[in-house]
Amino acid sequence: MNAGRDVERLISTWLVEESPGRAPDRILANAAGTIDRTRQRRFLAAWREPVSIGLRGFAAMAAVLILAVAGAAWIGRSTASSGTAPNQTPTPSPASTAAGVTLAEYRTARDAICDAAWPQRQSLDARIGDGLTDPATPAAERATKLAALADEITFERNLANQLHGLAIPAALHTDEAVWWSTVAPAFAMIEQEIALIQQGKFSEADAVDQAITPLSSAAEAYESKYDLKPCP
Amino acid sequence: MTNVELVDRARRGDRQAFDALVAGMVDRLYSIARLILRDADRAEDATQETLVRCWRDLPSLREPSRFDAWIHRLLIRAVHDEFRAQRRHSANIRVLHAEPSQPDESGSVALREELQLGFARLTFEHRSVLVLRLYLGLSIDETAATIGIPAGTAKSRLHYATEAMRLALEANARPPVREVSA
Repeated sequence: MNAGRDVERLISTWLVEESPGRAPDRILANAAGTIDRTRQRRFLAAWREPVSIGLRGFAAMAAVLILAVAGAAWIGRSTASSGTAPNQTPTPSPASTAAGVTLAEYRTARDAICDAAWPQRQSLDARIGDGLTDPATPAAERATKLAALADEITFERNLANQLHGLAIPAALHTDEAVWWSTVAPAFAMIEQEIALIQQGKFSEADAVDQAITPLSSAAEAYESKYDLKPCP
Repeated sequence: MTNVELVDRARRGDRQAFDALVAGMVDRLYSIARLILRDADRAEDATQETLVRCWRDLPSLREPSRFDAWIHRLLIRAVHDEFRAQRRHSANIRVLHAEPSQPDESGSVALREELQLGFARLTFEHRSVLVLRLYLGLSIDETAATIGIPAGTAKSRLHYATEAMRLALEANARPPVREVSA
């Protein structure tokens, strides 16, 4: 036992001696260049870091992605004709209230909604925490987390409706419609994740989570293009 | 501003907060990567990749207070990717070379070289456990969570790796060291 600890001490000392201590400055500089061109993920499903996905998970991801893209396309057409998406509270069509609104006014109104929403999002996040798809998480704790996640979806859905209900400048109509077309499929996928977690299918849930990324990118692109603050 | 506040701002897209956050930890991340990979260029790549993934996925971190553990997980994943790439691109059999050691007052050059050679023979999994536990000072549970393995497995890997290092230290004279890659 003591001999083992002596070796550990020896290795520990050696590792400290071997450690470079300081990173080359170019690491931060190069990373900054890439980050400048990288958008943050939006939507709330990703509760853990990206995972390596097995063949089964990859197949699930591919299937879900196809469904999501098809769904987004269908909802896009539906939105264009009716102004609303399925499973969402009907809201005024932005086009009908957009007269005379400037980008600056829209940005201010949207940012105010998003800023006000962050504290509630943080509170929901704290209730969900980590370990949702960790098999070691006790069933009762997982059920509590899932309930909080369901609350978060409701919260996010309401938030999306508020944003979609804002008067927007005419120049933004097309891009806003693209963003809006991704909202319902994204929430549907998160609800699918909840169902998979409830069934103990954690790798499939992770795969669905990964498949949300393209939908998330649409929201990121919209925010980035018009210099809007990230919304929870 | 505390780290938790910086994390919270960064996950809302505040780039200045993100830059301040990672500036305070890039040295540690690079050191971990360098120790595990034993390759400066690949360690740079792994660290850079970790920072980019961190920015991209930060909104998914639900507990800002657990940022350190989260970014260590990202780093180990990036280091693993680099390690696998390293093995793919290297010859099946290669002669390992120890980095030249500087003589010190206790004359422990031989000891350091034995440690280097012993460490170089370890698998990625064993190196990771040693570095997280004995360099970073994480507990067994934290080490296990960072790598994503059960605590029992982490403990067993630590035991195996330490034992392998002990055997390397006991072997005073060696022929040229060769490693057979899978």
